[in-house]
Amino acid sequence: MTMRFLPSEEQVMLRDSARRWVEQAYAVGGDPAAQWAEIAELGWLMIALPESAGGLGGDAYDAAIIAEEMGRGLVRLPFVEVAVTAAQVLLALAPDRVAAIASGAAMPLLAHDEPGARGDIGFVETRAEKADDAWQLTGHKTGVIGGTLADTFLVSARTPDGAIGLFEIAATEAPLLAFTAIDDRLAGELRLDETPAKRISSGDALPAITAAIDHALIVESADAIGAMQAVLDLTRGYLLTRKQYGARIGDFQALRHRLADMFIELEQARSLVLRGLTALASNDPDERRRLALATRARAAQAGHFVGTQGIQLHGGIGMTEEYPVGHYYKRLLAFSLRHGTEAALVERFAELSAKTQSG
Amino acid sequence: MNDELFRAELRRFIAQELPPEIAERTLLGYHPHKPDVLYWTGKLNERGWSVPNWPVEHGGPGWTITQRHIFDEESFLAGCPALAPQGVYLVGPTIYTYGNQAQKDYFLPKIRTGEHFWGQGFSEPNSGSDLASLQCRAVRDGQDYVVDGQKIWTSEAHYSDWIFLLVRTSSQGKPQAGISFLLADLSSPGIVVRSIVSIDGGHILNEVFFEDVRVPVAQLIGEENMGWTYAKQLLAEERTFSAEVPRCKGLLARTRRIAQQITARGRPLIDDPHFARRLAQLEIELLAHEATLWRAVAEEEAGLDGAAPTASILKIRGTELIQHIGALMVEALGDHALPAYLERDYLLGAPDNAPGTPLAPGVAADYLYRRSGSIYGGTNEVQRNIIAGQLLGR
Repeated sequence: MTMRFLPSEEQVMLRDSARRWVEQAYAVGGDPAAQWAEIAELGWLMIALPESAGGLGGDAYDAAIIAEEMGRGLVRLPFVEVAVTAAQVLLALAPDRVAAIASGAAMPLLAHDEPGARGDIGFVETRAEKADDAWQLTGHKTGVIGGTLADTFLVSARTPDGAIGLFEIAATEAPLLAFTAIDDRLAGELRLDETPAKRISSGDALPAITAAIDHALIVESADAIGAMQAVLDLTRGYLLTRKQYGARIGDFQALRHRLADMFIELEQARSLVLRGLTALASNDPDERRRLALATRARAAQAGHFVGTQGIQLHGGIGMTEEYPVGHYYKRLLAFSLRHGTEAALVERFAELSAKTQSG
Repeated sequence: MNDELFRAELRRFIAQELPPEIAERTLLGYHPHKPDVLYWTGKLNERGWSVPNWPVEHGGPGWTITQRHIFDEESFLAGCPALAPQGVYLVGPTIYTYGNQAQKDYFLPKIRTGEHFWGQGFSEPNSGSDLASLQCRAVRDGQDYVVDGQKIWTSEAHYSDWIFLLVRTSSQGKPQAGISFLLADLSSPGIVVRSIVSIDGGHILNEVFFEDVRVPVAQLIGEENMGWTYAKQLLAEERTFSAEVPRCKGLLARTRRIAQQITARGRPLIDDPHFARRLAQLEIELLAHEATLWRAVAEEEAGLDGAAPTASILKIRGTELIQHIGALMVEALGDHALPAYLERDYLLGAPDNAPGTPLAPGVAADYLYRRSGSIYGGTNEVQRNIIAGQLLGR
């Protein structure tokens, strides 16, 4: 399989334009709806979607370029969650609805993760039951980043035949408990209690949900790469300017080696994200799954090291709310908690290895 | 040819040509057995494959970098003896890049056939990672250099034919500016090779002493006092080489095999979730490490090499990974790994009445020897200095 380790000319331009928008146009505290309209206008919501569905015919690599810049600039919009994760699940189950995402007209979010699932995609306790020919969902969905901005939730639930179905609930009808996440992103959880829902497709939705979450695992990892790069840049700058004991602290070997280790962690994670992006196009779902788990677990591990050591090398200033390095760490920490922790994903990876390499 | 066809062709070739007893011996993981290496170099040479990294004009197969990696991987996993690295991967490329025509004509064919095995005379007792401080002297006398000094950690010198050397030809200017690159016949009068037994109980390392050794000026590579430049290129190659992806894959597969067969309290060790998780962690690290190697290759092919200190990352993580896998493998064996399965007892096959399990010989020895990985080629701490130097300046 051919890997793409170097961006094309178009992709370099895309990165430049994403960086410009993040640095110059985006502002924390701005109106998210207006910001969403801007990125729709820029074409980013359609970039990773096939032309047949109203997209630009790019793929996850293009979305990852934008995600990386958003991580680097701490953008709080649910870009990956809508334009990649929800779009992928609809692409498989209701392709005629994808064009509305591409244009920015619709903003659906996948609500699949449940407390206790620990990265096991098939672990769904939410139940779907039929009452008077209409579906009702009961259960608990968590970690819905961007929850307060969505117009629709795509909710997975176990149907009476034991399969996993996909349902939709309009945001206006959804029992959303909104919260602000540790990285300041607007989020929410769904407390479903016989909540009326519409079934999106009749078949088993698990393969489509798995594929969509594999996309999320990898493209969100690109966001984490952007955040880690920002930590590295900040820390490098600090080591070059801060003086103690009459010397730049960047002259002390213990700190130099720490920065080198942060760099190694970042680059190893970055390599695996590039490899993972290639695996998303694979026709072999086990291979795609394996790489998605590995990529996410590796990026979480790197994020933990880079984030905490970024704070450490800054000393006291790194502890302040005013200084950005802590915000990056909180972004990375939140990243490591969604869709399964690092330890849980490594366990899922081990199970898959046992399955594919036994004997 | 597409890569999978290429892989299939290699597998066919190996299955036909590699004697099972050589494969079995090689897979134990002890140091190379010269007759095996020679035999296999000859077989590969018949196919034009004995110098896989060389360009066609110098007798290489002209493989793409991807094909070279497939070759390394298939060879390692099947138990093919490794090609003698100092000639094929280090001095060979130096000779065809910086050597003159006569040197190319004389030396390159002999590396291809295995007629010449090479040692690397870089480190000295007082010059390890700080290689530029080296003191082994070469003084010009007519058409010869006269070499005096000592080299150490010279892998394979005891069965090599030639040695390439960094020698001091000037004490003017920076230490790097007075170093020359010489090729010396190891049978020259005044050269003494002494063996060093390493902590694994095996013998691959040596010290080489030079006393009034006459080396013809015709055996100088490039220009006098320019040796550091040539060596730096070679060391970057060595660091990429020490990414050791095929070895990591082979060791991980061996670890899994061991964990499937060793039982812990009556159950296969592989079924212990704690063990499985640690193995998975190393598998994930290898996926990332291999991807970094591919990135480095892609950057090299696009002419972007040097943009990032990738060679240092590959060296650090490759050697660390091998050590971590080795440690896990020894731990997986537990008390099965207690007997000192010495190389000299196992090089020609397992002795009668061998203790323990046949899974164990070679595992601890290889692990112990691989503690050297984070030391040779510039210690991993020096590699971190290199990375930090790129990020922060000196």
